[in-house]
Amino acid sequence: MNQKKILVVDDEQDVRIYLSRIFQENGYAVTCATDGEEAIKTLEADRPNLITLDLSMPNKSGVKFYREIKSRAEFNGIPVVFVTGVTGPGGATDTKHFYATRHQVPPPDGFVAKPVDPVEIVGVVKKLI
Amino acid sequence: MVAPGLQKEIFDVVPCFIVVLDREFRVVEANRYFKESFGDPADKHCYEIYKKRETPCAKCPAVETLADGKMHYREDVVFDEAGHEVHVIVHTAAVRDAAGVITAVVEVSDDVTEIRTLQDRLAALGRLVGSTAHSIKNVLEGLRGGIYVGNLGFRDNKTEDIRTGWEMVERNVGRLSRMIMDMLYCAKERPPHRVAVDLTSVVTEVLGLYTARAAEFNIKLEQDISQDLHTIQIDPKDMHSLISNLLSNAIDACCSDQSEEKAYRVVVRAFKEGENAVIEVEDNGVGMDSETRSKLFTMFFSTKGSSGTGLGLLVSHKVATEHGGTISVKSAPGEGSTFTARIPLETKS
Repeated sequence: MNQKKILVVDDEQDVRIYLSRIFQENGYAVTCATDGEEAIKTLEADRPNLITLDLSMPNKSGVKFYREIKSRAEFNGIPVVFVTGVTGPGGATDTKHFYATRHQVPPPDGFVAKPVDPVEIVGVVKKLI
Repeated sequence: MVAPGLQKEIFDVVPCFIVVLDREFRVVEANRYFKESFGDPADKHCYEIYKKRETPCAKCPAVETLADGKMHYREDVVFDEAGHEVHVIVHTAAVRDAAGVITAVVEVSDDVTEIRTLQDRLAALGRLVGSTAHSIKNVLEGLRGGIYVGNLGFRDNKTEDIRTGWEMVERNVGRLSRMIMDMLYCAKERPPHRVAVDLTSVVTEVLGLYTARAAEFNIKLEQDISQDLHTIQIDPKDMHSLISNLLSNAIDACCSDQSEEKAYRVVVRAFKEGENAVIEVEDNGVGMDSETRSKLFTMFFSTKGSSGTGLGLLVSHKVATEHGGTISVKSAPGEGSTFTARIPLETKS
């Protein structure tokens, strides 16, 4: 009852399977989207409690999707965790700074670098929801 | 005091391009080294010779030297007599008469083309390392995921999870081995190992490998292979890679398209056209705009997010060129793309 929902946005099938199973194992309900466009449709249909977002995707990139949800009042309160292989020399903090400055977007609520460690990502999610 | 004859000899043999320009930028003197690369200046303007222009260049150290009498330098790209790019570092100095009035400018240019080429290669190597690390990270993610799901299956005694996990491992091991083959291919300069091959058999073999994948995504895979294509001298492995990459991209282009009305199809054609064997792969998938088309054959450019390495088309392009052929593309957003590889039927010795 009252199971919290996570939307996993990633263009890679294996990453979607991996993250879905990690979250299901930890008691969350999971929906998936393969790119930013599909993610927007999913959000409109069924609002999740948290979004995990890959940044490098075809069609609508993760950054464009993130910028859009941050600009829409109905969605900007949903916590977003970046899950990406794009990391800077300083790791997660450095990448958050990079995306905040380079793409002029607010820093995400959480950040997990690929390859994902299940304990780490569940820890980040539990702090947020 | 250096003898005048020796001065002229030194002027000629110094391994730099040396010219003396009058105030109208006409070349009034040029050394032998310059003439060997740029031809006889014959009173032409420097900008006509170096840049094939009709008016002076916007930024020119000779203009600055004429204006202030000081030495100036600049790095530039000029064109030799055959039209090849030459990277030069140009130094200019004023030539004055007895009254100290500037009458001419001497321009000494160092040819740094080889250094710049090496720098470009080093920069490409740096990008290769970065891109490789990123691609491996993505594969590692898939492998890690496969192991995780497989372990859940063992823990709960669920065959379905074990199978899913194992399939993820298999998929990513396959990706890794393809990636490594592509990287090795791109890293090496080597002539193709040509043997007499029936090109239609290579095309048919590749088609066979992709039939199931096309069907999985409901894409109709059609073939139109002409009977007049006979045995030609090609490297069968290389040609296999060229066709595989084009076909795999065509399927991906259909999968990336969002249209609900389209019936997706990929057509592979092989035929003889003049002196060439032509292999054409046409899809009616997502298509590309002109910006994407212009970057297609450059290293590490990919439109496929995390799943692309940006090496596939580079490999196809390299195979075509090493066989003395070409590869070209026609594409429009929303309409699809056609890639055409032309491979000479006769090997030029």
